[in-house]
Amino acid sequence: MKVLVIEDDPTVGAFIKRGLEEQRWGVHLVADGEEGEQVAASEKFDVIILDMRLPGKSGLDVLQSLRSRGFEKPVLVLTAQDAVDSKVRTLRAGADDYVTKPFAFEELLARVEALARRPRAMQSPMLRVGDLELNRDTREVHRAGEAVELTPKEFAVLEYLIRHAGRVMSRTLITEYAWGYHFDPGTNIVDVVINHLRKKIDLKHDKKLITTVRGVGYVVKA
Amino acid sequence: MSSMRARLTIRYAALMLTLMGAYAGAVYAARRAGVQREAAQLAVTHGDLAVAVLRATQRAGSAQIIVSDSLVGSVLNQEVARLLMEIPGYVIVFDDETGRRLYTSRAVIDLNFLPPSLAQRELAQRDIDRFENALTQVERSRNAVRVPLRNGDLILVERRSSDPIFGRRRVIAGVNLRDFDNSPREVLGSALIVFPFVLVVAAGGGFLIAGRAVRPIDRITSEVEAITDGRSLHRRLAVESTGDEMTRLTTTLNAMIGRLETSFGALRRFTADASHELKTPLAVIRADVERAMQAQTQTTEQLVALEEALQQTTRMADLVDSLLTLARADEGRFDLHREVVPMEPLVREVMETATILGEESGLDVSLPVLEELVVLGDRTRLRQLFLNLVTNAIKYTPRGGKVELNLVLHGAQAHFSVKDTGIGIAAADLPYIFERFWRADRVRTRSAERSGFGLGLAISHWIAQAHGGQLTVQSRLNRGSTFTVILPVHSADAAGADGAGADDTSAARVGS
Repeated sequence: MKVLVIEDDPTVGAFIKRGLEEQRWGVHLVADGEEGEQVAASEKFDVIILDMRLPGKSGLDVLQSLRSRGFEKPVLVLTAQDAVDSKVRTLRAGADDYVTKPFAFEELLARVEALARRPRAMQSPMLRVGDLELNRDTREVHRAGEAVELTPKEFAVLEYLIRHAGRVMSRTLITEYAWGYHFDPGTNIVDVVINHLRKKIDLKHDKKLITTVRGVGYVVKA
Repeated sequence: MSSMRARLTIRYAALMLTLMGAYAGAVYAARRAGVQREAAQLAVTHGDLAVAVLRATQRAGSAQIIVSDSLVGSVLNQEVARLLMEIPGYVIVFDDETGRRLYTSRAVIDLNFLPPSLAQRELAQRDIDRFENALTQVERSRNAVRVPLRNGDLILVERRSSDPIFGRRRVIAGVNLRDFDNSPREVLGSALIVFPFVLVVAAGGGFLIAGRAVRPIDRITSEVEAITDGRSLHRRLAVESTGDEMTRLTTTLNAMIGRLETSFGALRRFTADASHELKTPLAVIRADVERAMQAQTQTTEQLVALEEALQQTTRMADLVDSLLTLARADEGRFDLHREVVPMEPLVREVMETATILGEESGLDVSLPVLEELVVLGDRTRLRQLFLNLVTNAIKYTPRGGKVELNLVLHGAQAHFSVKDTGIGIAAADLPYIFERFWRADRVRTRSAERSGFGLGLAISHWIAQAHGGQLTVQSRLNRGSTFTVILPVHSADAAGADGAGADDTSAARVGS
């Protein structure tokens, strides 16, 4: 899967590129709208990620130009404003989805994948760590063959951890993933959920899969 | 200001002029009619006197008419004529049979005199013509006839006697008005002299009075300019207790200045608050990053520092988003993207979070009533709204308390309520809770327990309104609060059609 990223800020651009490459995307990064148009015309991409605020030719102009030239693949737009009317405008101009800055990479990734309709066959719905199994499609969880009942939030948190098994996931990122944005619980709600998960998953077993990393977050590893 | 003064004065003077003119005109007309009437009366008296003389002499038997010669025609007896000469004014005795004038008084003879000079002669002739016309007129009509002559108007009347013995005689008697009573002209004359003087005085006086009235407006304008120069909004206009329009004007202006001061003050405070709120996370981030960069810091410590920094960026992003939302609300923009939102799953999701939070805080969280409803709106924003109310309830309720959520259908409205047994809100504070940066504890603590920017309710209020609904609150200090979100329910028939129209944006959303 190939993605064209048109982003003038080098930090953000590098961040996106590296993140997507880790997810096995082919990434072409350009910092300029005109160049982006040319590249889009000459190479085949599955998705384009386009920053709205570009120097020179504006993101909106680039978008309209791409569409009028017959580019039909999905375009994900990065906007700094949250104004609804500019969202409506970009969507009407031909964008398929948008992500507002600042964004968590997870969100960007999820939307890009959704837009590209990455075939699920490539990613198995089953996630496994040790004897813990999670089926993303059926939402069933089993440890050592035994079914585990989880609430929606518990499932979300566990899924997130298993998907990044072995990596310490920051509490902030877990919260954002499971509760979305615009939510400041004020307390560490994730800790409570992890507590519940531990009771349901680790309590009866000697091998504890969920590990706390103090001050940072949690990790699931065999 | 001078133009308003001038306009007022001119209008006032014009009015004065009109009134004076009307008055003078009325007096003149009345006087004229009166004089005319009196003169006619006098003429009638003269006429009747002549008739009486003729009748008396007739009865006495003396021959009235003496025919002298065919040239002169019949004339009246000298004796009779001499008697008639006593009657002043214009007197003519006509013989009806012949139409001849048997007697004409001195005044009539003088009238018929033609002076030598040509110019005078023309004027005199005109007089004669008019007089003759008038004689014809008075014969036909019963009323007095007014004849304009160059030495004054005449009033002529005709008198007859019904006595058969009197025979066919008729008498014309006339009185000159100018000799009689000149008062109408005097009235006019005096008016012409006096009125200009009066007008000038009135206009002058009016100008002064207008100036006096208008000067306070000038003063107020200058004062308001001074007050609104940007630094002096604390000042107010001096209010005079005259109780008139000026008082009302100054009072109203003062109220307006007061409101300006409040909102400017609020704006300044808001900016200061927002800057302050942003500075704190920035400071933390800075500290964390610096720490992480130090050589002696271990990897795990670095991760800790970075996680804390990440948390702060989330807080800041949240604050910025809130400020942006409120700025939009200020502009009166209530735009949201709309989709069909089934409320039951949303409330269940919120309930789960509420339960988790409640558990942590030692609270009993329940959801007794959850009815199936559908609302047209922005799912993310609604969730934000509900979660905000829930976190507030939990935050401000001490351990052992209760929080109750409900979703009930009332007619065509959905009522989502969050009821707690917490610290409550004082009645005096209730009107202000939806304002920015308002907080129940009013102390900006930095503890994790009570962190929050104080924008939550302001935004929640906006979200409710943007959905065509409202956010209401009932509260008693130390007893608890109930916040209710009222939203219009989306009709089920349209739901089927719109379900397909939910846009891609919502489908691609991460997290629940």
